Amino acid sequence: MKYETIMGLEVHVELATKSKLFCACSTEFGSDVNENVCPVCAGMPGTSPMVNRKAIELAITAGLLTNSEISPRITFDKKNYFYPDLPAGYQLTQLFAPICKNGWVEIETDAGKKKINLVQIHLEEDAGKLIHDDWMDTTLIDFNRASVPLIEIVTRPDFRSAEEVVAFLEKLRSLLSFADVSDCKMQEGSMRCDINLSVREKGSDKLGTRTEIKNMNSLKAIAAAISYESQRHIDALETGEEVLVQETRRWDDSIGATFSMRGKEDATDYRYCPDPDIMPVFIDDEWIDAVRSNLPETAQDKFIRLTQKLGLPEYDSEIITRSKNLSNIFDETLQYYNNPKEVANWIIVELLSIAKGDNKGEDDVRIDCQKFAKLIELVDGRTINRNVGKKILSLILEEGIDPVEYVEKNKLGMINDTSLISSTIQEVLSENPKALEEYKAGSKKVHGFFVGQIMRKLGGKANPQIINKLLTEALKEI
Amino acid sequence: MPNIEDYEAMTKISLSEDEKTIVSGYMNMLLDSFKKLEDTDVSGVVPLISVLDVKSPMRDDVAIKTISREELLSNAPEQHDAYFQVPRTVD
Ligand SMILES: [Zn+2]
Repeated sequence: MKYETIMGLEVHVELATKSKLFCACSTEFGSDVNENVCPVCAGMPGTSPMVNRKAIELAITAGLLTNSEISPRITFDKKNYFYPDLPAGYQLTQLFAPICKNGWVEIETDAGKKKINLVQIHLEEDAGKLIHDDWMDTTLIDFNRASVPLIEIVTRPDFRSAEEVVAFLEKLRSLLSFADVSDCKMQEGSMRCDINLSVREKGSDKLGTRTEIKNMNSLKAIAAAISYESQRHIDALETGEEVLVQETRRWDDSIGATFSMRGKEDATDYRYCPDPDIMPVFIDDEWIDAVRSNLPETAQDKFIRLTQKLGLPEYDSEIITRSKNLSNIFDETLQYYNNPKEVANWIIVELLSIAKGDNKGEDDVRIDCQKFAKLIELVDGRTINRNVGKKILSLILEEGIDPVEYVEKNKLGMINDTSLISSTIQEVLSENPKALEEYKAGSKKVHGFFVGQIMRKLGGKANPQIINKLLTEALKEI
Repeated sequence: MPNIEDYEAMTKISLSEDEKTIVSGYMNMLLDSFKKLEDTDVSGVVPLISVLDVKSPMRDDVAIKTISREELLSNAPEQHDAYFQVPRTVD
């Protein structure tokens, strides 16, 4: 390998607050156009922003989880630009006194463990959504997202491969979603990132020309874009056919290439200045300690608890702790039925396969954990067999049925009555003299045939273990 | 020092040649005045955010709807299907 790719990230994460950063408008995703907008976030003259305490707290949480220093005094600055996605004509962000500095996150790839250093984490407001209408030759604006709180996590140029970038984003998603800082759903835009990339000859200490790929919102696209853009840089260095310029580029997923985003004039000057309407926010040690003492279990803590205290296999624990949602389902179900192995098994084997069939990711599965626990208990206690259990699981998900009531009403309970099973065995044996002769002649597979016949007579509801045991005994006596 | 065309681009204001001459003159006077600040030693001085010595008040994270969409849009010069409508602007 003659070249190395050097990358830094700017990751935008939408904070999981109920209201916006500087006003009380709802942050709900998917509301009707312009429903969650007020005079403050519409940039009306004479309105005054008021800081959301929870947003500060979530940013402190993000700082603690990434080993950052938390600033004792923070301010908000105006970033002025001409674009109608922010109605005030500027974005409120933090340039001069960001909330977190000098953090780091440890990642693990096939190449081993590595520390990724953070320059800072700052708070800022999101922008509105523009729809460019070619037909009417106008631009339409929805300000519902305007002023929704974001944190921007800025890393040092510490990345050398797409695997490292993906590992970092996955680690970040795990840390932040487990602490309820954000749901970190890339497909809904609550986590997105810009990639700064340059290529140089290995061993050189001079940085190459840097390009920035904006607004990436899927891990797959990120890996593809890095691979494409690195190769473009290498080709330019090797052939000299294309001259690299420092610029912003856009990834087109359908074409699989990056394209220059022209139109940003050279004279861009954001004229940053502190917002005189927002006084400094002071963060004392008491506040930081309070946030620290309320930090929930991280995915890593949980993995250790699942494997060491609950004795689950690493494979199962890994799947469950990969998603905050699955972890929640696991913990809640366990409260109603304390059998970690069976609960994990039902989540991983049955629940996830149904979800997959419905095209749902592990973060989108929803189930009533109390009903789920009852179902697992019914199968575990051999009241119903596993196949009936699977069908009932689908019905819980689709119709919200109560498994205990349903089993009673539909008489699905397994037959554990040994006298009934014994008499059925005798019936089957006397009805099948030919098979019995074969068995006596040494054919072992006839055993399975008998089990099938007995089960059929009992409507598929008999306990297979009891059938097996009693049948073996009955055959011995012959 | 940026030239007058840079300021035109930044402020999205086009000037005629005559205006450019006049505005350049004023701009240079202004910039000369501000140069005096460069002679002042401000090392160790915390930037003044406000003349008031107060902490920012903060609100609890409660979502409240304060005005209806109709009210919100009532000031908009143009609207379409509940969207604000502006001249086509592509970044
Ligand atoms: Zn608002």
